[in-house]
Amino acid sequence: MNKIKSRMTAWGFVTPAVITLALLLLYPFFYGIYISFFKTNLVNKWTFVGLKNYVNVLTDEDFLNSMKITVIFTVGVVAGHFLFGFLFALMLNRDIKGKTIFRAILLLPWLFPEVVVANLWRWIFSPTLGFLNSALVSAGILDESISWLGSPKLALPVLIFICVWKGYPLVMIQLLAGLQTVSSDIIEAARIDGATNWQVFWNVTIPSMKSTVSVTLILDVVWWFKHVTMIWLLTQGGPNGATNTISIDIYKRAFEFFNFGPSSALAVIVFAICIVISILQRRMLRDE
Amino acid sequence: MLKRKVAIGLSLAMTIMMLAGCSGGETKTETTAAGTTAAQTEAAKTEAAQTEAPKGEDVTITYISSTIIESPEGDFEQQCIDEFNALDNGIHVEVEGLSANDLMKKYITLATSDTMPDFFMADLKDGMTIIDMGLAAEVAPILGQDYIDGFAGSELSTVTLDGAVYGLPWFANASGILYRKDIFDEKGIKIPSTWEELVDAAKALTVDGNYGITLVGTNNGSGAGRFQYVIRNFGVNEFTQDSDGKWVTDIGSQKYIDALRAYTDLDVTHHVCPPGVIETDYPTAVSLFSSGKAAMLITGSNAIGAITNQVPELKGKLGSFPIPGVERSVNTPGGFGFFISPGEHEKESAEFIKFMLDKKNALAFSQLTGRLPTRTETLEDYSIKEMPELEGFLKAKETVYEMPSIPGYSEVNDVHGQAYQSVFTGEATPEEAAAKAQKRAEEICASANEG
Repeated sequence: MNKIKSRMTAWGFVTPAVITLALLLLYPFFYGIYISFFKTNLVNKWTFVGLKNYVNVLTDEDFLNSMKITVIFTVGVVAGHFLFGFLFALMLNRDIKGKTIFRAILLLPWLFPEVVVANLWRWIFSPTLGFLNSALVSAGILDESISWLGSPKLALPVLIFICVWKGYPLVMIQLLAGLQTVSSDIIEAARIDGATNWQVFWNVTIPSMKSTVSVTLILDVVWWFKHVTMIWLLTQGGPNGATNTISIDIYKRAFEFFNFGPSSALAVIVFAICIVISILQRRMLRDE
Repeated sequence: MLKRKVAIGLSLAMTIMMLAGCSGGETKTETTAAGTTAAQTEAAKTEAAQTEAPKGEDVTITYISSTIIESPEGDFEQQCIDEFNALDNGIHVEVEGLSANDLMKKYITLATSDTMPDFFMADLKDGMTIIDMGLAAEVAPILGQDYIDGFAGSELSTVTLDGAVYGLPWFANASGILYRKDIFDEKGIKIPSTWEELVDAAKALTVDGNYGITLVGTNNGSGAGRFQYVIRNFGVNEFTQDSDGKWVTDIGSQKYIDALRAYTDLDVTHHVCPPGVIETDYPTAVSLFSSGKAAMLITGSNAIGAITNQVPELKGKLGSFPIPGVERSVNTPGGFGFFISPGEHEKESAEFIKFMLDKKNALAFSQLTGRLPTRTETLEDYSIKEMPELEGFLKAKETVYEMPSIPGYSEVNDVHGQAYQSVFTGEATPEEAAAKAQKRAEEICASANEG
C-alpha cells in the first residue's frame, strides 16, 4: 500500500513537467515531422506525399549552398565569440580597477534586443545615409560609398562581425564563470614549476574548464546554426542568396512561399544535424 | 503525511493552472488599438468602459489591419472606428494592428487554431490564397448584389472565383512613376513617354550627388512588385493557362531578359540610382525621394501619403506618369481589401466595412493618402480626378494586367528578387539570371499542374 502511495506521489510530482513538455515541446516537434510528409497549406489541403518533400529538399542544388553558408556563418560567429569571450573573460578575471564598469559595458551588446542591434548596424553600414561610409569617404580612405550588406562578397563577413558583436557577452560570462572555478592552487603550482603565462593558460586553465567550454560551445553552435532573426533583419538571406542560411531557407519556404511540407522536411533535417553536432562535440570534449 | 498531501495538492493545482493557461478555446484574438498613443489610450478607455458597464445587446467584432499602424492611414482609420462605435448601433469594433508583410503568416496561424477574427484586411493579390483556404465568406449574400456591382470594373478581379466575390476592396493602387515636379521644372525635363526617354531623363537628373531614379532592390514584395510593373510593360505574362488548362510561364523568355537588362542597366550601366540599390528598401527609397536625393520613384500611388506625411512641404510638388510601355502599357492592379470570416458576425462586419467604404470616408482617405478609391461613385468624384499627383496613376489605371491565380504564386517574388539582385551585383548576366528564374517558375507551374 505504501509502495503504491509512494508511486502516486512520484507521479504527482512528475505529471506537471511531463504535461508541460508534451504540450510545449513534444506536440510541436511531432506535428512538424507529421507536416513534412504532406503537401499542405495547414488549413484545408492535406495531400500525403510520403518522402517526396525530403527527396526534393535534399536534391535541391540550393540546399548544399545553404549548408555551406550556414557552416561558414556558424564557424565564423562561434570562433569570434570564443576569441573575444575568452579575451574579455580573462581581463575581467583579473583584479583591475573599474572591473564592474568594464563588465557592464562589455555586456551591453547582449542587453540590446536583436531588432535594435540589427537596425543600428544597418544604419551604420548604410551606403547612402550611413555613418561608416560617410566617415571613410571624409577621411579619404574610400573614394565612394560601399554597399557593405549589398555586396555578395562582403555581406557574409559583415553579418558575421555583427553577430559576433551581438553574441560574445554570453560566452564571455559563461567562460568567466568557468575561469572562476579554476583552482588558484593548481595555477600557483604550475608557476612554481616555471610555466609561462601561455603554458598556464593552455595546459592548466583550459583543461580545468573543459566542461564549461564544452557546454558553451554546444549551446553557441546550435544557437547560431539555427539563427534567423539577425540575418533576416539585416539581409533577408541576400544579396542574391549570399547569406541564405538553412534557417532562412526554412523560414522563407514556410512563411514567404507557404510551402509548409518542404519547410518542415528541411527543419527535421536541421534538427538531425544539430543532434549529430552535439554528439560529436560531446565526444570530442569528453572529460577523461 | 500532511506534507505529502500538500505537495500532491500543489502539483495538481499547477497542472490545472497550466492546462488553463495553455487552452485558448475561449480566448478571443487579443485586440489592441495599435498605432498612435492616442489610439492606445482610446482602447484603454474602451476596455475600461466595457469592464465597468458592459452593454448587454452590444456585439463586439474584431478585425486585423495593417494600415492602423501606418501613418497617416492609422489615425484616419482609428477616427473611423471611433465614429462608428459612437453611432451606438449595437456593434462595437475593435482592431489589432499588424505589419502588412506579416498578415498572411498571422492568418494561417489563426486559421490553424480556428481563431480567425470576424473580418480582416489583406493585400488583394493574396485574395486567391485566402479564398483557396476557405477563410473568406462570399459577400454578395451578405451585402447584396447591388452593393457588389458598385465596385469599379477591375477591382474585384483578384477576389472573384467562379463568379463569386469573396472580398471587398478598400483602396486600390495603380503602378506608375512618381516624380519631383520641382526638380523636373528646375532642370527643364519633360515627362518621359518611352523607356529611352526615361533613361535620358534619369541621366540628366543625375548631377551634383543627386540621382535620377531610386529603385527598390531588396528581395521582397516591395522590390519584386516594382520589378513586376516593368516586366509586364515589356510584355511578360508571368503565368498563363494553355488550351489544356496547364500552367505555363513567360519568365525567362526573351521579353523577360530584355526587361531584366533594361531595369538593372539603370544602375549597372547608366549609374542613375543612388548607391546600394540592393539595400534600398521601400522606406529608404521614400527617404531618398523625399530628400531630393532621387527625382523619380517607381511605385504605387500609396507612396504619396507616406512622402507628404514625411515632408509636408512636398504637397503640390509631386507628379506622376505611367511606367513607359515597351511591348504594351498595362497597369498592375493592387491594393488592400476586407474579407469577412464565415461565422456569426458576418452582417455586423459588413456594416462596418460599408461605413469605411462610404463615399465621404473613402474620399477623405484617398485625399489624405493618395490611395485610390475602389467604388465607382467615389472614383468618379471630381476631387479625385483633380488631384495633380494622381494624374499619371489614374491614366495608368485605364489599362489592366490580369493577375494570375496560380497556386504557389507567393514564391514568384523571390524568383524575381533573386534574378534582379544577381544582375545588380554582377554575379550573373541577364541571360543567366533569367534561366535560373525560368527553372523555378517552371517548378511552380509543375507543382500547380500536379494539383
